[in-house]
Amino acid sequence: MPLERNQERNRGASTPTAAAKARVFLPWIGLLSVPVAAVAAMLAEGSAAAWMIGAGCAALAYCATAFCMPSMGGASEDDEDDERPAVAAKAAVGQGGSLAAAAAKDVLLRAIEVRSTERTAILDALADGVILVDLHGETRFANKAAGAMLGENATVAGTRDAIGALPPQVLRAVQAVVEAGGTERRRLEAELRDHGSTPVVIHVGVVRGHSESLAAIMVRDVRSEREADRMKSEFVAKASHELRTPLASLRAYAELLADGEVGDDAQRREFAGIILSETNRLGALVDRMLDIGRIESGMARATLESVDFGELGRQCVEEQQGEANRRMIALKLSRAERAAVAQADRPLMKQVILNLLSNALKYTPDGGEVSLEIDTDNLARAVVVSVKDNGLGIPEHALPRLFGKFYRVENHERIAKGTGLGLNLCRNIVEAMHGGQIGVDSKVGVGSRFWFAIPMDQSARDQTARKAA
Amino acid sequence: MNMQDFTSDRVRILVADDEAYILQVVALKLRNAGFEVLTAYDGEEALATVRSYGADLVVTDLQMPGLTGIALARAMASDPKLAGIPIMMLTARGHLLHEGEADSANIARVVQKPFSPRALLEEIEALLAERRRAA
Repeated sequence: MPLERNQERNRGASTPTAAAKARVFLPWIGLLSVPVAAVAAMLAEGSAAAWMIGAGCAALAYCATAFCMPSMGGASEDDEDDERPAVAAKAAVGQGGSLAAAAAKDVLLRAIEVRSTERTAILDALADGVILVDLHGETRFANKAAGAMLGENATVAGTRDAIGALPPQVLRAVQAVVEAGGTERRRLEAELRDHGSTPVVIHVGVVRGHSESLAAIMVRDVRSEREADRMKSEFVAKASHELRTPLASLRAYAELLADGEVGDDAQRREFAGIILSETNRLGALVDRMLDIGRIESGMARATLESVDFGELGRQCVEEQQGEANRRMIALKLSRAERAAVAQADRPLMKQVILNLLSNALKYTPDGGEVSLEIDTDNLARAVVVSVKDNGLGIPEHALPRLFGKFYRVENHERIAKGTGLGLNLCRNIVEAMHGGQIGVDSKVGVGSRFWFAIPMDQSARDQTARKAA
Repeated sequence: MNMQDFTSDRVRILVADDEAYILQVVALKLRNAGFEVLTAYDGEEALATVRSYGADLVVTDLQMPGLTGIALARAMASDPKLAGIPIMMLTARGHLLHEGEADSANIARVVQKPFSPRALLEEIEALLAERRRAA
């Protein structure tokens, strides 16, 4: 362990007199307290990661350096961040007694040991790898995360294993920053030569001591950031596609009308109707994207009130009855005898039920059956709303992606138009805004049952949240 | 598939898109310009149509259920009877095809959605003229 080696080194460097010991130890005890306190504060605030990338680099590196370079530091001996060992040492010097000096030495060593353990624990708690190397790339210190990233050998002090496991440009950066000195820092994007070619961001900063300069290398695994970037790009590409499709219709039909390429009034009315329909589609798409964005960013809040789901279900069925009649679909409402009442946002609940009913009607052939069932689950203390149909059904492979953004089941696209965002919005409303659950059971050729459950009260809501966590 | 005017000697263009409105507007524009137009709602239908009836040009959407526009183009490129038919790709993906994707599947032109039917017609006429000169 580097720490043990350093403690040995510290002990070896101590002199027979308490005064000399005080001169050696006091400056760095005081100096170490500053960066470590900063790291601890940042960790407590949960912002250590961001801080490390910036100006904190040097402080952390200093902290690591202190383990192996006890004589380092430019502050004066007047620095007294931790006064207890210093007072003890000064008292010992004042008394001049050998017993007092020995006691002071013990106090100092214990203080150093405690501090060193604390600082190692802090550095080992970091998710980023922290490595301190000299100009030749020899390791002076490496934390646990560095070992996990580069292999356990990388943490062995006095070897070049850590630098050897890093991409070659890191050593060049180390040499450059050490030679340049001052506040020189380098940022590199690279891939580790491990099994997965892990993408990393590496920061190299200089740590200037009395006798030599060292480089602090911090390695951050950026796989999750890259994955987030990939998902963001995928969302933008899908959103772009979905927005461009109705726009393409709008532009094309408007141009034909403007160019007078229409046969008669009937065709002119048909084109105007298509423009109107595609404008509505575009508007609905933008509204849903904004709604989902607001919910996901935490900006949307549910306005809770006591909602009678039986009554709400009756209203929803009434609204969809016209479409059901037109398609000769039997639309039924089934309500539990006991009251199905929960604290919820009424307009949002209505939006979810209407969305599920509308989907069921879209994908059920003419003459089929759709039913809305309102029930309660006494065990889970939740209102359960189900929409059943005997329509096309959904292939098993599509079920896990069904509530994702812009996902449309193959071959369903040509049956009915949709934004591909409706179910995602329903999931956000039910789960993110109400602490409920949403799901689907389906079989191709038999039909589907979409359901959602809303906790009846706050304690049930908390229980659901705990289960979800 | 629409086989209107199928027996004529006019230049025959197959249009494939799963968006009915786009299919309708492109077909109308091309018919108004004097072309014979066949239509298909997806890649599989387009492939079956071009195999059965042939075409002088295929205008296809990129993203379609089942056989995509790229898969259709590749299937045509690997069929000696269809490999010479130029393909024009319509895409709403918001970016161009990946590098080499168009070349490997003999895609002559890529047109971004939303597009101008007027500009599309000009592109088609230019492409057909180019092919006639090369023949």
